[in-house]
Amino acid sequence: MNTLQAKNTSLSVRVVGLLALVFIIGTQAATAQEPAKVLLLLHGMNSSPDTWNDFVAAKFQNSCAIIANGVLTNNSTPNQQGVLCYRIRFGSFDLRSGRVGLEGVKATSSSSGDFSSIRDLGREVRRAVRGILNRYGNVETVLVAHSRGGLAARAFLQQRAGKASVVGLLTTGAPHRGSRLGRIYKYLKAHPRGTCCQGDWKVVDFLRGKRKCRVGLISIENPIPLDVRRPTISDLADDSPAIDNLNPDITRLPPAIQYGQIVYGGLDLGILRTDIPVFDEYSIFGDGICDQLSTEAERFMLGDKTPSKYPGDGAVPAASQRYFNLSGFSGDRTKLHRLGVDSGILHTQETAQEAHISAVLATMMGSWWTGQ
Amino acid sequence: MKKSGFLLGIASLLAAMVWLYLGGQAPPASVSPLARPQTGSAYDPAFDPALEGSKPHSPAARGNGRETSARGGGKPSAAFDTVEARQRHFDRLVEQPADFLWSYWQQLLNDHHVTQLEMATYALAHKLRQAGNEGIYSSIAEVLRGSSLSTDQKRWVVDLLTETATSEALKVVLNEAVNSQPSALQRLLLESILKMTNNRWDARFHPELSPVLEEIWNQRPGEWDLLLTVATGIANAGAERGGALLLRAVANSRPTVTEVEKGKNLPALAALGALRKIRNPEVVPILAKELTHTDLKDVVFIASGDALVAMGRPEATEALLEWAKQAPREATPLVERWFRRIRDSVSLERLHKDLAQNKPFHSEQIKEKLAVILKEIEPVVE
Repeated sequence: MNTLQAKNTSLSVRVVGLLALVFIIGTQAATAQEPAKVLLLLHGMNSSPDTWNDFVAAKFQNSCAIIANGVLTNNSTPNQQGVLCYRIRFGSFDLRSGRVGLEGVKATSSSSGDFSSIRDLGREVRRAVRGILNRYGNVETVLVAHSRGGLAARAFLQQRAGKASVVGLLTTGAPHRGSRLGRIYKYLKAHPRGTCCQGDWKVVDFLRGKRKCRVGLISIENPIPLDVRRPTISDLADDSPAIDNLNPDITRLPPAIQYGQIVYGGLDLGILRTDIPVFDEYSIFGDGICDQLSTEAERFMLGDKTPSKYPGDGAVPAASQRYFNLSGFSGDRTKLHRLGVDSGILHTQETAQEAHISAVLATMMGSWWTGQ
Repeated sequence: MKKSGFLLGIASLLAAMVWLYLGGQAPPASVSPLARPQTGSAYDPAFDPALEGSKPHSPAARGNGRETSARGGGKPSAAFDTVEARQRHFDRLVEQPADFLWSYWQQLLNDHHVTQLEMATYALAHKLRQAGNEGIYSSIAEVLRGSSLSTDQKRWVVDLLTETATSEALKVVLNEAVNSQPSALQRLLLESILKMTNNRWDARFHPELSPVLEEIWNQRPGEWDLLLTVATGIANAGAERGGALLLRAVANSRPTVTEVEKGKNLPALAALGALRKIRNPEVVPILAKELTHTDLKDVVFIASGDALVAMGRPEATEALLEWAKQAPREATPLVERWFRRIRDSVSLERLHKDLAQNKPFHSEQIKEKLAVILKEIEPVVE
């Protein structure tokens, strides 16, 4: 081998080596570009991240860390499909909101966002999305939102900043057009305790776990208290300014992401529980176990119609759970995915319907969710 | 991938050359997944202004008014006004020893620094889940029993215990709920018990919580709400022994429909309600054993089936399916009652598979019913 050949060989080795190096760096860079996949769960009013326990157990083997005020309080482990789960705990704005409910009821350390405006709940979503982005750098986030969480998700997505990493939104049982049940707040405000309507306030007290309902030999309390004196109830009324302000901005939802909605029907408005021990069903309207609202209150809330004219999940009419047909929403039709269920599932049971949520996510996100 | 790899590689090299040529500063480090800020043992709270300001004995602790009352009732502290700052602070907090955090937490509670308190609650709960903190639990119990805190402050203490969700934390709350005079906190304490037993920290059920509750259960508290809470807590915790205990409460007294309607036999009623809250698949064999009853109206048999379907897990569905394969045609209404409530996708797939494979059933009617139900509950996304 002469000197020239040796030089050529040496040069070839160097070029090949350089190309190999470039290839390795490039491949690694391309691999590093694979975004993390995060499912972010948003709870609703009078609720907590625990509401997702059944869903999280089924899809994430119980690994779904809580994000509070944008802070990831732990790390989650990806499931078999490589998806990570996080869940927001709403309420970071409650004490600072300064909002006071009926009878002077104020926020406590665990008010679940019930004293926050929908706009502030949207801020909490933005903070959580930012926290995830900071942790993972390159990430695709899908929001799955129950009830009022759906409005919080929209409040976030309908503003301008910080939403580039979001690739999908699925709402389930969300009151996009509010619910007539929310009108109870205005009614009670106009009819303070002690001035009239003793029966209506008995319902309020039963719902918030302060009045026992005696049936047979036992007195029962509402096992999951609901305080309708909290200001969020007013925000969620179908005629509330909060809903009126939120919905026109639906035009700002990002057009390129995937959207899903799950709509539950089959129950009359006002049926809030079907699992009170001893009894199967409790409604705030009509005649039934424990206390019901007066005819006057019912008329104030429902007008001339009966509860059966607002079929849904007991708390939110089915018609209100749809957002694809809200005026101004012009999402790409190929990116809208809907599921309707008419089997009488209660509002509070919707987060546990893993098969429903997974089915819509599979249609929305394809291999992102299924891993296939 | 290869093509993009080449392009990215070349781009990286070019960028590096330009960067070297320009003599610029190092590019920002990318955030790697699951990376936490580098704190560890090198972190010294003495140099963290946020912690410094709240140290129990520091002068700043008494004069730190940067964040006003009521969870930021005005402008939040500048130290915590970004997600990044809060996360950094939290990540440093979890590196601190539990006793330091407990002192810090109390200081925040006294000063009503609620944004920090929220973060400190999570951090302290995290530390308290580790062994060797008995002294802190005693101190927490003392604070909760004492009269120096307002009801709102006690709520924070209960929240801390709720978030911690260990046997020790549960003991403190249970003791307060059972022995203290009825107060504004009573409802909160009962809710706390339910939340603790539902808290699957460390990505698992916590059957170790069950014995504390079983002890109270065996004392048969007369108050219905406490009884129901304890029963539900046992179900939530998901210990096999707890599940058996609840079943026994129903089996021993076998309440009649009339008794149930009249609200007689409180422990059996509470157990009946609680059984439907069991979620830990490890309890499935105990429940499935009761499906062998031949009396289709037996209350224990029905309660077991109800509990299995409420669990929403493939292991539970499997047990129900095995029962359905052997069940007589008279059991068709129960098939309707149970299989219509299946709500997890793995169970649905499993049922489809069995029916598609034409697996044998004792009753053709039940098999047909099952097929109809499956078709009706199958989610069809448009």
